[in-house]
Amino acid sequence: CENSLDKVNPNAVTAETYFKSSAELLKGVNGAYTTLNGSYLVGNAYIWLHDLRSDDFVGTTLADDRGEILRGTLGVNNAYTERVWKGFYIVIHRCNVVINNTVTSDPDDPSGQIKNRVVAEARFLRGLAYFELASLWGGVPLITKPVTDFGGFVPRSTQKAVYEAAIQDLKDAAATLPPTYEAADNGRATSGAANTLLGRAYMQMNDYANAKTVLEKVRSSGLYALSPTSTENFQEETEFNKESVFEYVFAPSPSAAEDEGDDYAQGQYRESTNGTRQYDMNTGNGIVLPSPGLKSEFEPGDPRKKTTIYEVGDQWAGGVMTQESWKKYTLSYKNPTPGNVTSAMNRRIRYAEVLLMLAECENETGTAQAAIARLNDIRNRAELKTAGLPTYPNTKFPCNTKDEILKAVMHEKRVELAGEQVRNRDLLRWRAAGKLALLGGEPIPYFQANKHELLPIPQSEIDRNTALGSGGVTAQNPGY
Amino acid sequence: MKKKLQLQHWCTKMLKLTLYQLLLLGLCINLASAHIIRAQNVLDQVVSLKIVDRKFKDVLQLLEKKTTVKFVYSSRVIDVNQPVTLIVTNSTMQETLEKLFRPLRIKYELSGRQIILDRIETGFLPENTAPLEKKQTDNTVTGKVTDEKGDGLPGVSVLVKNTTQGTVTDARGQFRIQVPNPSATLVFSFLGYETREVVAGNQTNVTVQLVPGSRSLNEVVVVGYGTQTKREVTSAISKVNTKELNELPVAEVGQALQGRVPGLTVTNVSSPGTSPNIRIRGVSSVSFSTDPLYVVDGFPTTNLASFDNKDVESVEVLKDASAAAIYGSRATNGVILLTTKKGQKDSKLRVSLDSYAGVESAWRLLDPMNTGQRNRFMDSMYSGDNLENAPARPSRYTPTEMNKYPYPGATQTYGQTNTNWQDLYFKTGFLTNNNVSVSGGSKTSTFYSSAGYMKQDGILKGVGFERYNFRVNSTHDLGSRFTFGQNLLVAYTSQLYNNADGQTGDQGTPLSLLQFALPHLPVKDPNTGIWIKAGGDAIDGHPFPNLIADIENIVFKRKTVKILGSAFLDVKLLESLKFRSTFGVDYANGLEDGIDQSYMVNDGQNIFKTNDGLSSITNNRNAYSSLLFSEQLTYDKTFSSAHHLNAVVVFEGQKTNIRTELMTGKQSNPAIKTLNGATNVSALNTIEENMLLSYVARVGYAYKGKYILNASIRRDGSSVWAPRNKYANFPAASIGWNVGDEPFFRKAAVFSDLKLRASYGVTGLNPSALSNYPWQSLIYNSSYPFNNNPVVNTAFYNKLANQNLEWEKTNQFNVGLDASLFNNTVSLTVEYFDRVTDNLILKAPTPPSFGYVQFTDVNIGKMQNKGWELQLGYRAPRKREFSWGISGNISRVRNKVLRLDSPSGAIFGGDGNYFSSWGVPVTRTVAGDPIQSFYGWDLDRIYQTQAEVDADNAAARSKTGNATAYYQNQATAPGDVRFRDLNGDGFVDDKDRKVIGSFLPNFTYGMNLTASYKHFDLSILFQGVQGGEIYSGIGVYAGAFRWPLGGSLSAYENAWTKENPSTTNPRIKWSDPNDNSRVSTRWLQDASYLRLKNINIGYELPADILAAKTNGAISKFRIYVASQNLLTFTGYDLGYDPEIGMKIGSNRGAGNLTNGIDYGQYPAARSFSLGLQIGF
Repeated sequence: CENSLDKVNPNAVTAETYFKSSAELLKGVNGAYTTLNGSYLVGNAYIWLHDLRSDDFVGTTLADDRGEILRGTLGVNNAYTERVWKGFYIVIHRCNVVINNTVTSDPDDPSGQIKNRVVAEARFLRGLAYFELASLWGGVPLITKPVTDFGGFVPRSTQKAVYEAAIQDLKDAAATLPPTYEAADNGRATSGAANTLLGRAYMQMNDYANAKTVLEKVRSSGLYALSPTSTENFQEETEFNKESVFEYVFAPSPSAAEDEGDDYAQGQYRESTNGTRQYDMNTGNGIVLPSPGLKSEFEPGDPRKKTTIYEVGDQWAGGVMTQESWKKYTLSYKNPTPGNVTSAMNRRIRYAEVLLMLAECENETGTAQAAIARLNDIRNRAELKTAGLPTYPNTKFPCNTKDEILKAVMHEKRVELAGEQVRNRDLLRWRAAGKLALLGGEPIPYFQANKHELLPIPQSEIDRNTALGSGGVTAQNPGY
Repeated sequence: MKKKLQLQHWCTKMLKLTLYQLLLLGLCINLASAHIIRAQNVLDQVVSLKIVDRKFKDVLQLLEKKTTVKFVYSSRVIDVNQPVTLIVTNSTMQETLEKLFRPLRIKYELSGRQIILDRIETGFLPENTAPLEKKQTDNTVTGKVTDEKGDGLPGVSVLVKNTTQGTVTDARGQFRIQVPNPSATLVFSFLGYETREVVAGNQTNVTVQLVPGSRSLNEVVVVGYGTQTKREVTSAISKVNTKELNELPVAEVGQALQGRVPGLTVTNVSSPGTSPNIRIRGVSSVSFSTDPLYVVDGFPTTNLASFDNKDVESVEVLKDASAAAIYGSRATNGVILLTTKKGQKDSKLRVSLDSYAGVESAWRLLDPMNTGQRNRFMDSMYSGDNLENAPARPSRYTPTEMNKYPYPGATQTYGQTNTNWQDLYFKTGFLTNNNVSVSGGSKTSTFYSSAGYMKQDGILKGVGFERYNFRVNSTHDLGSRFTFGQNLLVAYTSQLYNNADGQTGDQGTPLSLLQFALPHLPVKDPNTGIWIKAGGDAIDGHPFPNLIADIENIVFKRKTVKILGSAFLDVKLLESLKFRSTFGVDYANGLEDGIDQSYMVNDGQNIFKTNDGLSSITNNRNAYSSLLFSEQLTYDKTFSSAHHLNAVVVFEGQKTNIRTELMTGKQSNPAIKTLNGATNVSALNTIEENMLLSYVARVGYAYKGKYILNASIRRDGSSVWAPRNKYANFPAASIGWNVGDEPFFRKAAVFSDLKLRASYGVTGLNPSALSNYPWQSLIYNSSYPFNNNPVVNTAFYNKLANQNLEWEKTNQFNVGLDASLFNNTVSLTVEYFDRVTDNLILKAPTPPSFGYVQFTDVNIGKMQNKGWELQLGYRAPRKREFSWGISGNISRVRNKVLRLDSPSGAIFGGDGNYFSSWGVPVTRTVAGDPIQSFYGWDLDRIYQTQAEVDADNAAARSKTGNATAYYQNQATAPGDVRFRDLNGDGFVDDKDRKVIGSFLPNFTYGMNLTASYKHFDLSILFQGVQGGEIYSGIGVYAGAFRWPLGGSLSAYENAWTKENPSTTNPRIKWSDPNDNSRVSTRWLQDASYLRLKNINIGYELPADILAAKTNGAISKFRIYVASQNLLTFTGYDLGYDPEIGMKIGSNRGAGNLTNGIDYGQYPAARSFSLGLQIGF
């Protein structure tokens, strides 16, 4: 027996023997959250991929693959698109493990309550991932079970099918997830978060009626409210406030995010637990700056401009700004060291966005007054009221027609949510609906129809997935 | 026809003689051992007898009655009824038996009180130590047999031709023999020497000198689990003896083999104490290191640096599959068998002292710029083409700044300072090795015992190696059937090494970094002890670290205690059937202590402590223990003197435990060198184990020594693989034909011997190379901080498990020819081999959509190595006191990847930072090409005029239809490199790369010349490689001048300028926008070199003088001088040395695909040493 050839690794458990209890499934879904935070996604690449495709950013010296995104010259080997693609599929894999679990009974979870919630969380995260993939790449391989063999290649489904899969997951999640958690679980997906994402997905599919229904559920839940100032949403001290619908949580003692390499050194069992926050404060080497268009979008006296950006002469913790710079999410409000922007603060789905999505849905479904009311919900935020910003309709935004209301929504959303990875997807939707004229024409200078609507499928996927190109969807998106 | 028969008869005779010799050897030992030790009491009994013409059995009975002895015999073997006469008076039992048995051709052995009788089959009788025949007849010949040096040769068999009459020489080489008549011929034969025949004539005192046979078919060769005579070897085995092994002052046996064995390439990769890179017959694995399996006295082991070469008797390199397959699953990279020295039975105590001491230093230094030259370089870096970058000029390089003093109280300004960092970094190192050994043996026991000390400082600061080693080997006969023996090594090694060696991050290896050294910076402020460092890009052009400060403050030491011990019990079940049981322990405890001490630096702006005043402490431990048990049955018998059968059956198990502990932390108190009270302590600990169970069988059959067949099979089971893949079979077979023994061949007088052989077999890759649980997918844990609480709360797996993972297997075909020509003066071995390794294990990249971060090991490749080897030796006939010989070997291996089933079909390697344009790979491995071919752009020429550039751009535009296209780049200008547009699409991009070279040489060779005259001896070893390329990473560091870096004076002076247009060197352009320094043929140089690897001249005091002066106390006194790497001939001039291995510290994936890239590795050293060998 001592001389047996059946040696068991005493240092770690194997995948086959794990995920056999609710507690292990819980750990499994937590692993998917971790990836969302990693450098492939919100910790780094995801943010660039979204924001640099919007019209809110300029970058003078952005030279690497990020510069390609900003200038629309990105190719199949762009590292940032590849990372985001990989990141979402890691999330999907980890969720698939949880969703396809084989746990039938667990004495520690006799009612299956934990298991059901955990599976719903996994559906939420998988739905989120497929929604992101569909809106960025169109049709992608729809993988709903963990891949167990090397030949388990899956071709691309249609964009519609991927959206539908995302919607199904989010619906299931919304039905099962609790509306709130104990404080210790702050950061987990709630039914409100699921409904908000569902709203985003419906809107992206031009299904405003369904979007309105689910978003209205969020509004009517009474769980959310706008904070008195928008700045509160970007400060560590007011994390998990009433305006927060979903947060990506970063550890409070931040360190630089580590890349999730293709291979880990033996024995290194940890992934990064901390993410870096967004855009470096401009101390002369700033590589991305707010675009002139964004700056002029703010109405005079709109306090949200100061929430979003620094202008020359503004005060920060380290003194007086000598350069213009992004401000949102940085710790510069309290940390005097330039460049030190890692933070426990994190991106979130905010209630403000729910209201603005609702405004658009109400407008699209013909209930103009409700649309204007939602816009004015934002304008009634304490700090805006104090600043004396006019409510809608006003002279600049008369809101007489559907298009005029949409124009107001476009404006309000841009200034409210600048730099929060929302604008890119809005532009995609409005472009598809032919509404960009309301913005004064195509806002993306390099835009090429039948190309820039979608990102290129990463070359590594094309190289290694031999099923790609079969099943009626081309391997690569047009134009690449 | 008649002649043929005679020849056959003669051959049979010769074969018999050989057997007689062996038999005789055994008999001597048996008789001797029976006599003295065990039988003291029994054989000392005194008897008086007078028996005339009685039956033999009656005499035995009588003796049994009169004494305490008991005779045991088989009446079928012993004719008990023959009449004998025995008259003894007060003789000892020993004398009595001698007198009784000798005429009857009976031998005996004593076991307790039992005397076991056996027949002496055929042949002659031994002459005993004390002459039995007191009376000397007229026909007695006496004489002396000497070796080639004139020293008496003991143990030589002397036979009267065509009779069974014979004797052996005594310890001084003297003999006495009766001859029937003066025309009788005496035949002198001795193992390893050519047999000589002398007509006795009327001379009563003959002196016969034997010369070593240049190739003796009876030489014993160690093969796995046994030995074979060279005659019966049918596979490719090269043997290196202790003398050759010890000519070089090196720490490890692998290094000593360089140039000695055809087909074996040795490449040093780092400082003393680091294993060299050894390949037998090419690169046989893509993902794993190609180190051969080392088997020391039957024990597969590692840590070769713990072994003292002086203790090694011989090294056998098993090259083809039929030789190596006996080690089955671990033998794909070849097997190197080490046999340590043993004592000889019945020999007097031998004490020898072997000692050398010397110095070593670099044989070549590069030519870095001094302060004045660097200032000139800076001027040109920011003028002319670079004028626009003048604002970026580092502030130091202005007369004002250069006239400042680097530290308060300095006597020299920056401009006056001229630090030669290279001289500071290199050193002359001391090396010594001392070994004292004592060996000897009684009738029943033998022993060899030694102690050694070695020290090699190396030639760079911050490295060095020391070893203390002790060995005891012994055997003891327990009765006539049992022999107990044991081998034990205890060694302590300590290696000081540079932990930055092998590093290829931003910093590069210390030697590459040295190319950026700034001569205007002093090393240290001598008043305060504060180290001086560069001020960064804006000030000095580079944040050049102070290499000397790093060496003094960053100290990494690896201390290993190695114990390798085994014990065996041999049981002689029958004369021809032996059983051996072995048990052994291999234990290595490696402790790695590292301190990265914080120190004070002055960077010209600030004085601060590095690492925020915190020292990083590393404390790693690796405990390796391996238990081996092996049960072996060996059957060896010759039937009717024509059929030799040898069969071996083994059951073996080896279980290995590996414990790793890694601890790091930060220490604020510089006085504390441990983790006591440290902060940020992290600890990682793993335990792994593996088990190998093996069943081995081999059968060898030889008919009249002419037709030989060997076949073996090994079935290995390894715990490393998934449950249904644990076992695999590794068969092999080989045939040999000693053509030289055929009657028809004798006519061709040119050949003394000729053997043809062929083999085929299967070997596998040592699975422990994959770690111990490679097929499993493990659960990893990390944390997601819900509510900002970072606790470990996640679980996930990152790769596919692979239950199908199995051995990389090599099928190898080998044909060989061994020949001796011109009366054994010329020996020749030719081999041709074809090895195909299938199931190569590679990390298979899965599509990102699978969601796996790690790639799984999968068997997806196939590779071929084929080539030939030639070994040729000549030993000139000795002329008076002069003798000489020469031997050479040459081999060629061609490598080709046959299949690579990874989806992208290519594996890239060797991407570094500075030297490969940040992350561009240097090597590519694809099917159809040799492994890891250098892959890059093809340098066409240097643009001399703007018109050339414009013409290319215009062509690019017309070809692509893009009005803004450029052939290379917008910034391309005269003086830049024009690369070739290989795919013809009009412009140069990533797709215009091709295979530009390979590290694999066309040939590797070695040549050894030995000579002796009177008491002087000389040995010269040349070693070299021909063909292949080096990609000089260090050359890029020295000469790319992308930034105001680089230090090569010649590269700077030869750069293209309008005034000094060059056709080979591009202009110096700030930031190198044309990427002139990209991976291209520009950095590739021929890797050929020829080295005078070793020269050794010795003088041995004549034995008679020694005897006279020391009263015989000293039997040998030799003194020698030696030099290693005295001369190197090479065209490679971009680095320190053309012997380039692979990046160290990496054994997986890309790391293994870095051979031939000069990262700035530790270069080969030139040494001079003085040695002394004394025998007592």
